[in-house]
Amino acid sequence: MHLFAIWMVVIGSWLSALWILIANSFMQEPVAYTLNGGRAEMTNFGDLLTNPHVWVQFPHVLTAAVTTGAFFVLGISAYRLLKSRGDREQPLRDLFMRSFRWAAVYGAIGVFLVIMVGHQQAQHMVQAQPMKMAAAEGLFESEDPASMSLLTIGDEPGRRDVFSIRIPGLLSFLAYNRFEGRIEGINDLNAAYQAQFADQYGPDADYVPPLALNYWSFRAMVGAGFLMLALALYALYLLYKRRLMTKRRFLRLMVWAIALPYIANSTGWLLTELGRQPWIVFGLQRIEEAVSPNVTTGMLLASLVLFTTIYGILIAVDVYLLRKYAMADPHAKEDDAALTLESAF
Amino acid sequence: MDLASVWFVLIAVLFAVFFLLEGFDYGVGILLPFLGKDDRERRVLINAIGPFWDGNEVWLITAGGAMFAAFPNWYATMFSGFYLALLIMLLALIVRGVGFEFRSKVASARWRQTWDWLIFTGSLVPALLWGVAVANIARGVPIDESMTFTGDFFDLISVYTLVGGLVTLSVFLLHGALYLSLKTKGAVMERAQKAAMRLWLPTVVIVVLFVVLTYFETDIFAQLGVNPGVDALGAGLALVAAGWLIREGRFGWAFAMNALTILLTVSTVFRGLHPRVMVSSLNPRMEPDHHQRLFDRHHARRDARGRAHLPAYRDHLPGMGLLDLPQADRARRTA
Repeated sequence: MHLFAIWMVVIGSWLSALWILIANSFMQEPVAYTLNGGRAEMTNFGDLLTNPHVWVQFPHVLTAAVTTGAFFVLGISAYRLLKSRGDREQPLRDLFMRSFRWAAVYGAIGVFLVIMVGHQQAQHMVQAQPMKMAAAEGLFESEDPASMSLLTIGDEPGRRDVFSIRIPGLLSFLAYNRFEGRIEGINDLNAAYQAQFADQYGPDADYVPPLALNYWSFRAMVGAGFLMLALALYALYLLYKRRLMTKRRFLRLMVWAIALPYIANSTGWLLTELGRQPWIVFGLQRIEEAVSPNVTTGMLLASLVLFTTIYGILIAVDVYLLRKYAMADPHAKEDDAALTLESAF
Repeated sequence: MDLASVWFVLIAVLFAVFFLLEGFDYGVGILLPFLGKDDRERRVLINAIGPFWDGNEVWLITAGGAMFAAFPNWYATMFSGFYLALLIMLLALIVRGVGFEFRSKVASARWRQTWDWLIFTGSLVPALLWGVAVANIARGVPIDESMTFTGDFFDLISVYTLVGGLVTLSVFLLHGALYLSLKTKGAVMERAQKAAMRLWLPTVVIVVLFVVLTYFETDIFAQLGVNPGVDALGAGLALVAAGWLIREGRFGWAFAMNALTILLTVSTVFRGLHPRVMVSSLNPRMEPDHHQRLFDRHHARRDARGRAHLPAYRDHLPGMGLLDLPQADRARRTA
């Protein structure tokens, strides 16, 4: 019965992620609709599900979720391995060694797949939303073969490079899986969109997303991803050599590494949403068209402040409780569960 | 019945069941600090709704999803029009849900008391706001021709809508007390039963006041006709029956009757709205010849089924009866 419930949670979470991403993918790459008097109407449910964007985004999110779970367990296990001492706590050490081992395997597989799928996604992005890729790379002018930026300091209002260190050809590899191929730059793309949408939004509308935020989100996501890959592989190596317990510094590092998947997830989401700007639905509707006319800036500010405050407090409480439970004896009796059965009827 | 009406009925059913189910756990949340004298009793109270409250909330999500899918204009007008009110409701629901989950996680009196009061507030606020929202939808809010809400937060608050809020609050409180009368034992049960007895009369007074105000503030009575229908009368009868059953000590039946009151009230409100989904107040009812209009309402035309048809202003003046159900139904009426 418990096992059944666990699987229902798993399936429910996956399905939930799938439908959310189908909705999000429509905003990234609208498919299966016709415009009827300014209103998009769905024409084919099947086409909505087979939106190519779903099938690069969904696996990326799923494998990211596996990675998050794995690094969470790795961090807690590492912490408990550090804290348990002496012969008396040998069973505890065995328990957390087992969870560390499994989490390391899951983490390595998960993060490897995230990176592979992310590469697929990038190739799709260059086709579907080239501006997002250009913004993520801080690529102002088109290049062939395109170089990948290591560090770019750009002049955002002026739309040009101030200073840039770049690896030649690598962006073409990211986009086309070979070391050549033209990547459109921000300025060329903006000009192309201005020509394409001149009838709707006038010739001077701007189609460039917030650049610095996209650029650094992309870097934080990829950086955290590769760091996790390195950590997971090193953990597997230590496990194989049976030297994990001697590397206390590494174990301490793994506790802090719990933050990495959260950084990668958040910045990845920032990239996918901010990179779509100024579109709410890519190519169909700009943000300013989607604003509710009666919701004022003040109201939005109020809700933003309130949500941030509440979620800030909840994060603090959450971390406090997670810490408390991570440190608790895993075999302790759950007294609250007992009370439920005894007295609720 | 055309597709739009099917969805209208479906959404009505979703809201009816939502109020029926979530009503008792709002009630329990509000009663928590009063019926639970110590930590153990409060845990018993929370555990009585523990497995159900989140399942109950899903009915609301489904109702909102159905509105979004079937009547995007309704969804857009209501959710942006009631932005701040819904924000407050959402924050209350967040705090409440977290309260249930976190309350017993730390064995400290201060920690638990804090969460108990947050659960109380998080249950009180939505229980009140739902009535305010329903009263606003029935009475009408300023919505212009482009289906944009033109008022602000304080337009939503009036004597009538606040009494509406008290209706849901008192009915849900009664519902929660009756639920606890069934689900608990011993001292907690006795207190819950006593609470139900005390709550019934004030609930009836508030409901009667609301019904009277509804006659003056909305066109629902005109919409329904002289005989308001089996559901409206049944809702009243069920509430009276609940009172009698409480006095007789038959709490199971009293709970069922109160549940029936909730279901039938929602049915009445939605039937009174049909074929509209929201009423615009930018209409002649708010003009100085208000009383003339009330008079007109009594002499409204009736169709073959005896249903009242309001004088022409309902259909022809701009901004009136806005956000009607689309297509088929409207075509029939203008034909």
